[in-house]
Amino acid sequence: MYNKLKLYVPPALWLLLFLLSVYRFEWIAQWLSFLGPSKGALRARAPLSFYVFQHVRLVLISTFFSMVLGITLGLLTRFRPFREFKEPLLQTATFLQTLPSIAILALSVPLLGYGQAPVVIALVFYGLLPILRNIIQGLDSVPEEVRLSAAGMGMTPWQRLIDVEWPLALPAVLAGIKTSVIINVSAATIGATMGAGGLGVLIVNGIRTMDIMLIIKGALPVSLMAFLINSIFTLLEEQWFGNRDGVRL
Amino acid sequence: MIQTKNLTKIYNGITAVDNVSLEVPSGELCVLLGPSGCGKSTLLKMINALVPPTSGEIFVNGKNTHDIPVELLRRGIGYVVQNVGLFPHYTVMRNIGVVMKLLNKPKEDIEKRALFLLDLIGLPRSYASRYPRELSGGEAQRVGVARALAADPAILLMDEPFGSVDPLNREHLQNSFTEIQKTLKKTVLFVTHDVSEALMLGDRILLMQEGRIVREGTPGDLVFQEGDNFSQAFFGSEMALKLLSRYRVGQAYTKGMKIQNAACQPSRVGEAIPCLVSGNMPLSEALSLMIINGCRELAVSGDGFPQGTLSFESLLSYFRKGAPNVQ
Repeated sequence: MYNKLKLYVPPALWLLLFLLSVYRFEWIAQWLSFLGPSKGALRARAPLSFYVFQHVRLVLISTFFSMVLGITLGLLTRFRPFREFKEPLLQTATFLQTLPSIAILALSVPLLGYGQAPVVIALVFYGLLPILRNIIQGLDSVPEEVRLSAAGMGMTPWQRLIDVEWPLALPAVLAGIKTSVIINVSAATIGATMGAGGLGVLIVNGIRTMDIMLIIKGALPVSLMAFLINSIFTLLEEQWFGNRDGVRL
Repeated sequence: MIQTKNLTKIYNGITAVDNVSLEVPSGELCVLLGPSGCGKSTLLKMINALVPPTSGEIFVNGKNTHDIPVELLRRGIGYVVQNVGLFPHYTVMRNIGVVMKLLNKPKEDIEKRALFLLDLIGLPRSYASRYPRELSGGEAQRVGVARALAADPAILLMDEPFGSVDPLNREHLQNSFTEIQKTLKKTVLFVTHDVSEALMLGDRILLMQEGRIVREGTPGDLVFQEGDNFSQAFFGSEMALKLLSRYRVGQAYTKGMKIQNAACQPSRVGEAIPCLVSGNMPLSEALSLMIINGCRELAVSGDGFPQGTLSFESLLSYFRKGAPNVQ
Protein backbone atom coordinates (compact mmCIF):
# COMPACT_ATOMS: atom_id res chain seq x y z
CA MET A 1 0.00 0.00 0.00
CA TYR A 2 2.73 2.41 1.05
CA ASN A 3 4.78 1.49 -2.01
CA LYS A 4 1.82 2.05 -4.29
CA LEU A 5 1.18 5.49 -2.83
CA LYS A 6 4.84 6.38 -3.14
CA LEU A 7 4.53 6.10 -6.91
CA TYR A 8 2.10 9.02 -6.99
CA VAL A 9 4.41 11.44 -5.21
CA PRO A 10 6.61 12.53 -8.15
CA PRO A 11 3.73 13.26 -10.56
CA ALA A 12 1.88 15.15 -7.80
CA LEU A 13 4.95 17.26 -7.04
CA TRP A 14 5.61 18.07 -10.67
CA LEU A 15 1.96 18.93 -11.20
CA LEU A 16 2.09 21.31 -8.24
CA LEU A 17 5.22 23.02 -9.55
CA PHE A 18 3.74 23.23 -13.03
CA LEU A 19 0.50 24.80 -11.78
CA LEU A 20 2.51 27.25 -9.66
CA SER A 21 4.53 28.30 -12.69
CA VAL A 22 1.33 28.91 -14.64
CA TYR A 23 -1.01 30.54 -12.12
CA ARG A 24 1.39 32.06 -9.62
CA PHE A 25 4.17 33.28 -11.83
CA GLU A 26 4.37 36.53 -9.88
CA TRP A 27 5.76 34.56 -6.88
CA ILE A 28 8.49 33.13 -9.01
CA ALA A 29 9.14 36.52 -10.56
CA GLN A 30 9.67 37.94 -7.06
CA TRP A 31 12.28 35.32 -6.20
CA LEU A 32 13.99 36.03 -9.49
CA SER A 33 13.80 39.84 -9.17
CA PHE A 34 17.61 40.06 -9.08
CA LEU A 35 17.50 39.43 -12.84
CA GLY A 36 16.32 42.96 -13.31
CA PRO A 37 13.02 44.67 -14.06
CA SER A 38 10.66 43.19 -16.64
CA LYS A 39 8.22 45.13 -18.74
CA GLY A 40 6.48 42.33 -20.57
CA ALA A 41 6.43 39.48 -18.10
CA LEU A 42 3.81 40.70 -15.68
CA ARG A 43 1.62 42.68 -18.06
CA ALA A 44 0.85 40.18 -20.77
CA ARG A 45 -1.86 40.51 -23.37
CA ALA A 46 -3.29 37.11 -22.50
CA PRO A 47 -3.08 35.05 -19.31
CA LEU A 48 -0.29 32.46 -19.23
CA SER A 49 -2.86 29.65 -19.11
CA PHE A 50 -4.02 30.66 -22.58
CA TYR A 51 -0.56 29.96 -24.02
CA VAL A 52 -0.28 26.77 -21.99
CA PHE A 53 -3.57 25.56 -23.44
CA GLN A 54 -2.42 26.36 -26.98
CA HIS A 55 0.84 24.56 -26.33
CA VAL A 56 -0.80 21.46 -24.89
CA ARG A 57 -3.21 21.33 -27.80
CA LEU A 58 -0.36 21.46 -30.31
CA VAL A 59 1.45 18.66 -28.50
CA LEU A 60 -1.64 16.49 -28.11
CA ILE A 61 -2.70 16.79 -31.74
CA SER A 62 0.78 16.10 -33.11
CA THR A 63 1.42 13.24 -30.68
CA PHE A 64 -1.88 11.67 -31.62
CA PHE A 65 -0.92 11.65 -35.30
CA SER A 66 2.64 10.50 -34.50
CA MET A 67 1.15 7.58 -32.60
CA VAL A 68 -1.33 6.65 -35.30
CA LEU A 69 1.30 6.90 -38.01
CA GLY A 70 4.07 5.25 -36.00
CA ILE A 71 1.97 2.35 -34.75
CA THR A 72 0.37 1.74 -38.14
CA LEU A 73 3.71 1.75 -39.93
CA GLY A 74 5.33 -0.33 -37.19
CA LEU A 75 2.62 -2.99 -37.33
CA LEU A 76 2.66 -3.01 -41.12
CA THR A 77 6.33 -3.98 -41.08
CA ARG A 78 5.22 -7.32 -39.60
CA PHE A 79 3.35 -8.24 -42.77
CA ARG A 80 4.88 -9.60 -45.88
CA PRO A 81 4.82 -6.95 -48.57
CA PHE A 82 5.91 -4.28 -46.09
CA ARG A 83 8.53 -6.33 -44.28
CA GLU A 84 11.16 -5.21 -46.75
CA PHE A 85 10.54 -1.57 -45.83
CA LYS A 86 11.49 -1.93 -42.19
CA GLU A 87 15.06 -0.68 -42.54
CA PRO A 88 14.36 2.13 -45.05
CA LEU A 89 11.49 3.29 -42.83
CA LEU A 90 13.69 3.42 -39.74
CA GLN A 91 16.37 5.23 -41.68
CA THR A 92 13.91 7.80 -42.99
CA ALA A 93 12.54 8.41 -39.52
CA THR A 94 16.06 8.77 -38.15
CA PHE A 95 16.86 11.24 -40.90
CA LEU A 96 13.75 13.30 -40.09
CA GLN A 97 14.79 13.32 -36.46
CA THR A 98 18.26 14.66 -37.21
CA LEU A 99 16.90 17.66 -39.12
CA PRO A 100 16.72 20.71 -36.86
CA SER A 101 13.05 21.36 -36.12
CA ILE A 102 13.41 24.90 -37.38
CA ALA A 103 14.50 23.48 -40.76
CA ILE A 104 11.43 21.25 -41.02
CA LEU A 105 9.27 24.29 -40.25
CA ALA A 106 11.10 26.39 -42.79
CA LEU A 107 10.47 23.71 -45.36
CA SER A 108 6.78 23.25 -44.59
CA VAL A 109 5.82 26.93 -44.45
CA PRO A 110 6.23 27.54 -48.20
CA LEU A 111 3.92 24.56 -48.76
CA LEU A 112 1.31 25.10 -46.07
CA GLY A 113 1.65 28.75 -45.16
CA TYR A 114 1.65 30.11 -41.63
CA GLY A 115 -0.49 28.83 -38.77
CA GLN A 116 -0.95 25.58 -36.93
CA ALA A 117 -0.96 23.12 -39.87
CA PRO A 118 2.74 23.31 -40.80
CA VAL A 119 3.74 23.18 -37.14
CA VAL A 120 1.59 20.13 -36.45
CA ILE A 121 2.97 18.35 -39.49
CA ALA A 122 6.54 19.13 -38.51
CA LEU A 123 5.91 17.91 -34.97
CA VAL A 124 4.25 14.73 -36.23
CA PHE A 125 7.33 13.80 -38.23
CA TYR A 126 9.55 14.92 -35.44
CA GLY A 127 7.89 12.69 -32.88
CA LEU A 128 7.55 9.74 -35.25
CA LEU A 129 10.97 8.17 -34.84
CA PRO A 130 10.89 7.23 -31.14
CA ILE A 131 7.50 5.56 -31.54
CA LEU A 132 8.36 3.77 -34.77
CA ARG A 133 11.77 2.63 -33.59
CA ASN A 134 10.50 1.33 -30.28
CA ILE A 135 7.55 -0.54 -31.76
CA ILE A 136 9.78 -2.22 -34.33
CA GLN A 137 12.46 -3.09 -31.79
CA GLY A 138 9.84 -4.16 -29.27
CA LEU A 139 8.24 -6.55 -31.75
CA ASP A 140 11.65 -7.80 -32.87
CA SER A 141 12.69 -8.61 -29.33
CA VAL A 142 9.85 -11.09 -28.69
CA PRO A 143 11.75 -14.33 -27.93
CA GLU A 144 12.07 -16.69 -30.88
CA GLU A 145 10.67 -19.68 -28.97
CA VAL A 146 7.56 -17.67 -28.02
CA ARG A 147 7.00 -16.81 -31.66
CA LEU A 148 7.65 -20.40 -32.68
CA SER A 149 5.28 -21.92 -30.16
CA ALA A 150 2.57 -19.36 -30.98
CA ALA A 151 2.79 -20.36 -34.63
CA GLY A 152 3.12 -24.05 -33.77
CA MET A 153 -0.08 -23.99 -31.74
CA GLY A 154 -2.04 -22.72 -34.70
CA MET A 155 -2.46 -19.00 -34.04
CA THR A 156 -3.02 -17.01 -37.21
CA PRO A 157 -0.46 -14.29 -38.01
CA TRP A 158 -3.01 -11.71 -36.85
CA GLN A 159 -3.69 -13.51 -33.55
CA ARG A 160 0.05 -13.85 -32.97
CA LEU A 161 0.50 -10.13 -33.48
CA ILE A 162 -2.44 -8.98 -31.36
CA ASP A 163 -2.42 -11.56 -28.56
CA VAL A 164 1.30 -12.23 -28.20
CA GLU A 165 3.72 -9.90 -29.93
CA TRP A 166 1.90 -6.62 -29.37
CA PRO A 167 1.34 -7.07 -25.60
CA LEU A 168 4.98 -8.07 -25.19
CA ALA A 169 6.12 -5.03 -27.17
CA LEU A 170 3.78 -2.66 -25.33
CA PRO A 171 6.24 -1.48 -22.65
CA ALA A 172 8.68 -0.52 -25.41
CA VAL A 173 5.92 1.24 -27.34
CA LEU A 174 4.89 3.21 -24.27
CA ALA A 175 8.52 4.24 -23.70
CA GLY A 176 8.62 5.43 -27.32
CA ILE A 177 5.46 7.48 -26.88
CA LYS A 178 6.94 9.03 -23.75
CA THR A 179 10.07 10.12 -25.59
CA SER A 180 7.98 11.40 -28.46
CA VAL A 181 5.73 13.55 -26.26
CA ILE A 182 8.65 15.02 -24.37
CA ILE A 183 10.48 15.87 -27.58
CA ASN A 184 7.37 17.56 -28.91
CA VAL A 185 6.71 19.55 -25.75
CA SER A 186 10.01 21.31 -26.29
CA ALA A 187 9.87 21.32 -30.10
CA ALA A 188 6.43 22.95 -30.04
CA THR A 189 7.97 26.18 -28.73
CA ILE A 190 9.31 26.70 -32.26
CA GLY A 191 5.69 26.87 -33.39
CA ALA A 192 5.54 30.49 -32.21
CA THR A 193 7.77 31.58 -35.06
CA MET A 194 5.20 30.17 -37.53
CA GLY A 195 2.22 31.74 -35.88
CA ALA A 196 0.95 28.60 -34.17
CA GLY A 197 0.95 30.18 -30.72
CA GLY A 198 1.93 28.29 -27.60
CA LEU A 199 4.44 29.06 -24.89
CA GLY A 200 7.02 29.74 -27.58
CA VAL A 201 5.33 33.11 -28.12
CA LEU A 202 6.60 34.31 -24.75
CA ILE A 203 10.07 32.98 -25.37
CA VAL A 204 10.30 34.53 -28.84
CA ASN A 205 9.01 37.88 -27.56
CA GLY A 206 11.41 37.72 -24.64
CA ILE A 207 14.33 37.16 -26.93
CA ARG A 208 13.21 39.98 -29.21
CA THR A 209 12.92 42.48 -26.33
CA MET A 210 15.88 41.13 -24.35
CA ASP A 211 13.48 40.40 -21.47
CA ILE A 212 14.90 37.49 -19.45
CA MET A 213 11.86 37.30 -17.16
CA LEU A 214 9.56 36.88 -20.12
CA ILE A 215 11.74 34.07 -21.50
CA ILE A 216 11.59 32.34 -18.12
CA LYS A 217 7.84 32.82 -17.99
CA GLY A 218 7.52 30.85 -21.21
CA ALA A 219 10.32 28.34 -20.68
CA LEU A 220 9.58 27.31 -17.09
CA PRO A 221 6.14 25.79 -17.78
CA VAL A 222 7.58 24.00 -20.83
CA SER A 223 10.28 22.25 -18.84
CA LEU A 224 7.99 21.54 -15.88
CA MET A 225 5.45 20.09 -18.32
CA ALA A 226 8.16 17.78 -19.68
CA PHE A 227 9.03 16.61 -16.16
CA LEU A 228 5.36 16.16 -15.33
CA ILE A 229 4.74 14.05 -18.44
CA ASN A 230 7.83 11.98 -17.77
CA SER A 231 6.70 11.25 -14.23
CA ILE A 232 3.18 10.35 -15.36
CA PHE A 233 4.54 7.85 -17.89
CA THR A 234 6.84 6.37 -15.26
CA LEU A 235 3.80 5.89 -13.05
CA LEU A 236 1.83 4.25 -15.87
CA GLU A 237 4.73 1.92 -16.71
CA GLU A 238 5.00 0.90 -13.09
CA GLN A 239 1.24 0.34 -12.82
CA TRP A 240 0.85 -1.65 -16.03
CA PHE A 241 4.10 -3.49 -16.51
CA GLY A 242 5.85 -3.34 -13.15
CA ASN A 243 4.40 -6.69 -12.25
CA ARG A 244 5.02 -8.79 -15.28
CA ASP A 245 7.63 -9.83 -17.75
CA GLY A 246 7.51 -7.67 -20.79
CA VAL A 247 10.10 -6.52 -23.18
CA ARG A 248 12.06 -3.58 -21.85
CA LEU A 249 14.32 -1.38 -23.81
CA MET B 1 -0.47 -41.67 -37.47
CA ILE B 2 2.26 -39.65 -39.12
CA GLN B 3 3.62 -40.55 -42.51
CA THR B 4 6.02 -38.82 -44.86
CA LYS B 5 6.78 -39.75 -48.45
CA ASN B 6 10.03 -38.73 -50.15
CA LEU B 7 10.20 -35.60 -48.05
CA THR B 8 12.97 -33.22 -49.06
CA LYS B 9 13.96 -29.77 -47.86
CA ILE B 10 16.62 -27.72 -49.58
CA TYR B 11 17.75 -24.46 -47.96
CA ASN B 12 19.82 -22.21 -50.21
CA GLY B 13 21.22 -25.17 -52.09
CA ILE B 14 21.91 -27.19 -48.94
CA THR B 15 19.89 -30.36 -48.54
CA ALA B 16 18.67 -30.36 -44.94
CA VAL B 17 16.26 -33.26 -45.32
CA ASP B 18 16.93 -35.73 -48.09
CA ASN B 19 14.13 -37.88 -49.45
CA VAL B 20 12.84 -39.13 -46.11
CA SER B 21 9.97 -41.58 -45.96
CA LEU B 22 8.89 -42.56 -42.49
CA GLU B 23 5.84 -43.79 -40.68
CA VAL B 24 4.90 -43.40 -37.04
CA PRO B 25 1.96 -45.71 -36.26
CA SER B 26 -0.69 -44.52 -33.81
CA GLY B 27 0.32 -44.75 -30.17
CA GLU B 28 4.02 -45.07 -30.87
CA LEU B 29 6.72 -42.84 -29.42
CA CYS B 30 9.21 -42.52 -32.22
CA VAL B 31 12.53 -40.79 -31.61
CA LEU B 32 14.38 -38.89 -34.31
CA LEU B 33 17.95 -39.11 -33.14
CA GLY B 34 21.01 -37.50 -34.65
CA PRO B 35 23.80 -34.97 -34.22
CA SER B 36 22.96 -31.29 -34.49
CA GLY B 37 22.51 -30.14 -38.04
CA CYS B 38 21.34 -33.54 -39.29
CA GLY B 39 17.95 -32.16 -40.27
CA LYS B 40 15.87 -33.80 -37.56
CA SER B 41 14.37 -30.54 -36.36
CA THR B 42 13.62 -29.38 -39.90
CA LEU B 43 11.90 -32.69 -40.57
CA LEU B 44 9.75 -32.20 -37.47
CA LYS B 45 8.84 -28.62 -38.40
CA MET B 46 7.69 -29.73 -41.83
CA ILE B 47 5.06 -31.94 -40.23
CA ASN B 48 3.25 -29.02 -38.60
CA ALA B 49 3.98 -26.80 -41.59
CA LEU B 50 6.34 -24.43 -39.81
CA VAL B 51 8.77 -25.21 -42.62
CA PRO B 52 7.40 -25.75 -46.12
CA PRO B 53 8.85 -28.86 -47.77
CA THR B 54 10.72 -28.51 -51.06
CA SER B 55 9.17 -31.74 -52.30
CA GLY B 56 7.41 -34.80 -50.95
CA GLU B 57 4.21 -35.40 -49.05
CA ILE B 58 3.15 -35.57 -45.43
CA PHE B 59 0.12 -37.43 -44.10
CA VAL B 60 -1.30 -36.87 -40.65
CA ASN B 61 -4.01 -39.33 -39.67
CA GLY B 62 -4.22 -40.35 -43.30
CA LYS B 63 -4.82 -36.83 -44.62
CA ASN B 64 -2.36 -34.99 -46.80
CA THR B 65 -1.31 -31.97 -44.74
CA HIS B 66 -1.14 -29.94 -47.90
CA ASP B 67 -4.95 -30.04 -48.06
CA ILE B 68 -5.52 -28.82 -44.49
CA PRO B 69 -5.33 -25.08 -43.62
CA VAL B 70 -2.11 -24.63 -41.62
CA GLU B 71 -3.80 -23.19 -38.53
CA LEU B 72 -6.27 -26.07 -38.34
CA LEU B 73 -3.49 -28.59 -38.85
CA ARG B 74 -1.39 -27.07 -36.07
CA ARG B 75 -4.28 -26.87 -33.61
CA GLY B 76 -4.66 -30.62 -33.99
CA ILE B 77 -1.01 -31.32 -33.21
CA GLY B 78 0.61 -30.79 -29.81
CA TYR B 79 3.94 -29.01 -30.08
CA VAL B 80 6.69 -28.74 -27.46
CA VAL B 81 9.86 -26.76 -28.12
CA GLN B 82 13.20 -26.69 -26.36
CA ASN B 83 12.99 -23.40 -24.50
CA VAL B 84 9.29 -23.94 -23.77
CA GLY B 85 8.18 -20.63 -25.25
CA LEU B 86 5.44 -20.04 -22.68
CA PHE B 87 3.80 -16.64 -23.17
CA PRO B 88 5.36 -14.43 -20.49
CA HIS B 89 2.25 -12.26 -20.16
CA TYR B 90 -0.14 -15.19 -19.62
CA THR B 91 -0.67 -17.11 -16.40
CA VAL B 92 0.01 -20.84 -16.39
CA MET B 93 -3.73 -21.42 -16.74
CA ARG B 94 -4.04 -19.21 -19.80
CA ASN B 95 -0.88 -20.66 -21.30
CA ILE B 96 -2.27 -24.17 -21.02
CA GLY B 97 -5.57 -23.00 -22.49
CA VAL B 98 -4.21 -21.31 -25.62
CA VAL B 99 -5.11 -24.00 -28.13
CA MET B 100 -8.48 -24.74 -26.52
CA LYS B 101 -9.29 -21.04 -26.72
CA LEU B 102 -8.33 -21.05 -30.40
CA LEU B 103 -10.77 -23.93 -30.80
CA ASN B 104 -13.47 -21.85 -29.07
CA LYS B 105 -13.92 -24.19 -26.12
CA PRO B 106 -16.00 -22.76 -23.24
CA LYS B 107 -14.08 -21.15 -20.41
CA GLU B 108 -15.19 -23.67 -17.76
CA ASP B 109 -13.93 -26.55 -19.89
CA ILE B 110 -10.58 -24.85 -20.34
CA GLU B 111 -10.21 -24.29 -16.60
CA LYS B 112 -11.23 -27.83 -15.74
CA ARG B 113 -8.84 -29.25 -18.31
CA ALA B 114 -5.95 -27.02 -17.16
CA LEU B 115 -6.37 -28.19 -13.55
CA PHE B 116 -6.56 -31.82 -14.70
CA LEU B 117 -3.35 -31.36 -16.68
CA LEU B 118 -1.57 -29.72 -13.74
CA ASP B 119 -2.41 -32.87 -11.74
CA LEU B 120 -1.20 -35.04 -14.60
CA ILE B 121 2.17 -33.34 -14.94
CA GLY B 122 2.63 -33.26 -11.19
CA LEU B 123 2.37 -29.55 -10.39
CA PRO B 124 0.20 -28.14 -7.61
CA ARG B 125 -3.08 -26.59 -8.76
CA SER B 126 -2.08 -23.32 -7.13
CA TYR B 127 0.39 -22.89 -10.00
CA ALA B 128 -2.51 -22.05 -12.31
CA SER B 129 -2.33 -18.37 -11.38
CA ARG B 130 1.46 -18.08 -11.62
CA TYR B 131 3.37 -16.38 -14.39
CA PRO B 132 6.08 -18.25 -16.32
CA ARG B 133 8.88 -16.20 -14.75
CA GLU B 134 7.79 -17.57 -11.36
CA LEU B 135 8.51 -21.15 -12.50
CA SER B 136 11.77 -23.09 -12.49
CA GLY B 137 13.09 -24.44 -15.78
CA GLY B 138 11.74 -27.91 -15.08
CA GLU B 139 8.33 -26.63 -14.00
CA ALA B 140 8.06 -24.42 -17.09
CA GLN B 141 8.87 -27.43 -19.26
CA ARG B 142 6.12 -29.43 -17.55
CA VAL B 143 3.68 -26.64 -18.28
CA GLY B 144 4.94 -26.73 -21.88
CA VAL B 145 3.98 -30.40 -22.07
CA ALA B 146 0.60 -29.68 -20.48
CA ARG B 147 -0.03 -26.93 -23.00
CA ALA B 148 0.70 -29.32 -25.85
CA LEU B 149 -1.69 -31.89 -24.37
CA ALA B 150 -4.47 -29.39 -23.64
CA ALA B 151 -6.68 -29.92 -26.65
CA ASP B 152 -6.06 -33.68 -26.42
CA PRO B 153 -4.36 -33.98 -29.81
CA ALA B 154 -3.68 -37.48 -31.13
CA ILE B 155 -0.24 -36.37 -32.22
CA LEU B 156 2.60 -34.71 -30.33
CA LEU B 157 5.69 -33.20 -31.88
CA MET B 158 8.48 -32.66 -29.37
CA ASP B 159 11.61 -30.77 -30.39
CA GLU B 160 14.34 -31.46 -27.82
CA PRO B 161 11.76 -30.73 -25.14
CA PHE B 162 14.01 -31.52 -22.18
CA GLY B 163 17.21 -30.21 -23.72
CA SER B 164 17.54 -27.03 -21.69
CA VAL B 165 16.75 -28.58 -18.31
CA ASP B 166 19.45 -29.61 -15.82
CA PRO B 167 20.27 -33.36 -15.72
CA LEU B 168 18.41 -34.15 -12.50
CA ASN B 169 15.22 -32.43 -13.61
CA ARG B 170 15.57 -33.92 -17.07
CA GLU B 171 15.49 -37.39 -15.57
CA HIS B 172 12.36 -36.50 -13.57
CA LEU B 173 10.74 -35.11 -16.67
CA GLN B 174 11.64 -38.17 -18.74
CA ASN B 175 10.27 -40.48 -16.10
CA SER B 176 7.02 -38.61 -15.69
CA PHE B 177 6.63 -38.25 -19.43
CA THR B 178 7.08 -42.02 -19.78
CA GLU B 179 4.29 -42.50 -17.24
CA ILE B 180 2.01 -40.01 -19.00
CA GLN B 181 2.65 -41.62 -22.37
CA LYS B 182 1.83 -45.05 -20.94
CA THR B 183 -1.69 -43.90 -20.13
CA LEU B 184 -2.34 -41.46 -22.98
CA LYS B 185 -0.77 -43.45 -25.84
CA LYS B 186 -0.20 -40.44 -28.06
CA THR B 187 1.51 -40.70 -31.40
CA VAL B 188 4.75 -38.91 -30.63
CA LEU B 189 7.60 -37.80 -32.82
CA PHE B 190 10.39 -36.84 -30.45
CA VAL B 191 13.55 -35.09 -31.61
CA THR B 192 16.73 -35.38 -29.56
CA HIS B 193 20.50 -35.59 -29.90
CA ASP B 194 20.80 -37.39 -26.57
CA VAL B 195 21.39 -41.13 -27.01
CA SER B 196 20.38 -41.95 -23.42
CA GLU B 197 17.14 -40.09 -23.82
CA ALA B 198 16.40 -41.86 -27.09
CA LEU B 199 17.12 -45.30 -25.65
CA MET B 200 15.10 -44.60 -22.54
CA LEU B 201 11.98 -43.10 -24.12
CA GLY B 202 11.67 -44.40 -27.65
CA ASP B 203 9.49 -47.28 -28.76
CA ARG B 204 11.45 -46.96 -31.95
CA ILE B 205 14.44 -44.86 -32.94
CA LEU B 206 15.23 -43.35 -36.31
CA LEU B 207 18.88 -42.38 -36.57
CA MET B 208 19.51 -39.46 -38.89
CA GLN B 209 22.72 -38.32 -40.55
CA GLU B 210 23.02 -35.52 -43.09
CA GLY B 211 19.32 -35.39 -43.81
CA ARG B 212 18.78 -39.12 -44.23
CA ILE B 213 17.51 -41.83 -41.96
CA VAL B 214 20.50 -44.15 -41.79
CA ARG B 215 19.23 -46.68 -39.25
CA GLU B 216 16.02 -47.54 -37.53
CA GLY B 217 14.81 -50.01 -35.01
CA THR B 218 13.76 -50.55 -31.42
CA PRO B 219 16.27 -49.46 -28.77
CA GLY B 220 17.16 -53.14 -28.24
CA ASP B 221 17.79 -53.67 -31.96
CA LEU B 222 20.04 -50.65 -32.17
CA VAL B 223 22.11 -51.72 -29.18
CA PHE B 224 22.44 -55.40 -29.98
CA GLN B 225 22.67 -55.37 -33.74
CA GLU B 226 25.79 -54.15 -35.40
CA GLY B 227 25.53 -50.84 -37.21
CA ASP B 228 27.82 -48.91 -39.52
CA ASN B 229 30.72 -46.79 -38.26
CA PHE B 230 28.66 -43.63 -37.83
CA SER B 231 25.99 -45.40 -35.88
CA GLN B 232 28.49 -47.22 -33.61
CA ALA B 233 30.36 -44.00 -32.94
CA PHE B 234 27.21 -42.04 -32.27
CA PHE B 235 25.71 -44.56 -29.88
CA GLY B 236 29.07 -45.09 -28.17
CA SER B 237 30.36 -48.26 -26.58
CA GLU B 238 28.44 -47.78 -23.34
CA MET B 239 25.09 -47.88 -25.11
CA ALA B 240 24.11 -51.10 -23.32
CA LEU B 241 24.34 -49.27 -20.00
CA LYS B 242 22.10 -46.53 -21.34
CA LEU B 243 19.61 -49.13 -22.52
CA LEU B 244 19.33 -50.41 -18.94
CA SER B 245 17.50 -47.28 -17.83
CA ARG B 246 14.57 -48.43 -19.99
CA TYR B 247 13.95 -51.47 -17.84
CA ARG B 248 12.80 -51.92 -14.28
CA VAL B 249 14.04 -54.32 -11.68
CA GLY B 250 10.53 -55.79 -11.67
CA GLN B 251 11.00 -57.05 -15.22
CA ALA B 252 14.21 -58.99 -14.68
CA TYR B 253 14.24 -60.33 -11.11
CA THR B 254 13.44 -63.84 -9.93
CA LYS B 255 10.38 -64.03 -7.67
CA GLY B 256 10.55 -65.96 -4.47
CA MET B 257 14.27 -66.53 -4.61
CA LYS B 258 16.27 -65.86 -1.45
CA ILE B 259 19.62 -64.15 -1.50
CA GLN B 260 22.29 -66.86 -1.79
CA ASN B 261 25.44 -64.94 -1.04
CA ALA B 262 25.72 -64.13 2.65
CA ALA B 263 27.75 -61.00 1.96
CA CYS B 264 24.78 -59.49 0.20
CA GLN B 265 22.23 -60.04 2.95
CA PRO B 266 20.42 -56.74 3.40
CA SER B 267 20.87 -56.85 7.17
CA ARG B 268 24.65 -57.05 6.84
CA VAL B 269 25.07 -53.95 4.83
CA GLY B 270 23.89 -51.46 7.37
CA GLU B 271 20.91 -49.51 8.47
CA ALA B 272 20.16 -47.97 5.08
CA ILE B 273 19.76 -51.45 3.55
CA PRO B 274 21.16 -50.32 0.21
CA CYS B 275 20.84 -53.83 -1.21
CA LEU B 276 17.07 -53.85 -0.79
CA VAL B 277 15.48 -52.32 -3.84
CA SER B 278 12.00 -51.66 -5.19
CA GLY B 279 10.70 -53.34 -8.30
CA ASN B 280 10.24 -49.90 -9.82
CA MET B 281 13.93 -49.09 -9.76
CA PRO B 282 15.50 -48.76 -13.21
CA LEU B 283 17.97 -51.56 -13.94
CA SER B 284 20.70 -48.99 -14.54
CA GLU B 285 20.40 -47.90 -10.90
CA ALA B 286 20.30 -51.50 -9.73
CA LEU B 287 23.53 -52.30 -11.57
CA SER B 288 25.09 -49.17 -10.14
CA LEU B 289 24.11 -50.33 -6.62
CA MET B 290 25.69 -53.72 -7.25
CA ILE B 291 28.93 -52.03 -8.25
CA ILE B 292 28.95 -49.63 -5.33
CA ASN B 293 28.18 -52.27 -2.73
CA GLY B 294 30.22 -54.99 -4.33
CA CYS B 295 27.40 -57.53 -4.29
CA ARG B 296 26.08 -59.62 -7.15
CA GLU B 297 22.58 -59.89 -5.72
CA LEU B 298 19.91 -57.44 -4.63
CA ALA B 299 16.86 -58.19 -2.55
CA VAL B 300 13.68 -56.98 -4.17
CA SER B 301 10.49 -56.03 -2.40
CA GLY B 302 8.00 -53.25 -1.97
CA ASP B 303 5.76 -51.23 -4.27
CA GLY B 304 3.51 -54.24 -4.83
CA PHE B 305 6.23 -56.54 -6.07
CA PRO B 306 6.51 -59.98 -4.46
CA GLN B 307 9.79 -60.59 -2.70
CA GLY B 308 12.64 -61.96 -4.73
CA THR B 309 16.18 -61.46 -5.88
CA LEU B 310 17.87 -59.75 -8.75
CA SER B 311 21.25 -61.25 -9.44
CA PHE B 312 23.93 -60.07 -11.79
CA GLU B 313 23.60 -63.37 -13.69
CA SER B 314 19.86 -62.93 -14.16
CA LEU B 315 20.53 -59.42 -15.41
CA LEU B 316 22.94 -60.78 -18.02
CA SER B 317 20.61 -63.54 -19.14
CA TYR B 318 17.70 -61.10 -19.36
CA PHE B 319 19.63 -59.20 -22.00
CA ARG B 320 21.06 -62.31 -23.64
CA LYS B 321 21.42 -61.59 -27.30
CA GLY B 322 18.16 -62.22 -29.08
CA ALA B 323 16.22 -62.60 -25.86
CA PRO B 324 12.52 -61.93 -26.42
CA ASN B 325 12.43 -59.37 -23.60
CA VAL B 326 14.63 -56.95 -25.39
CA GLN B 327 12.86 -54.42 -27.50
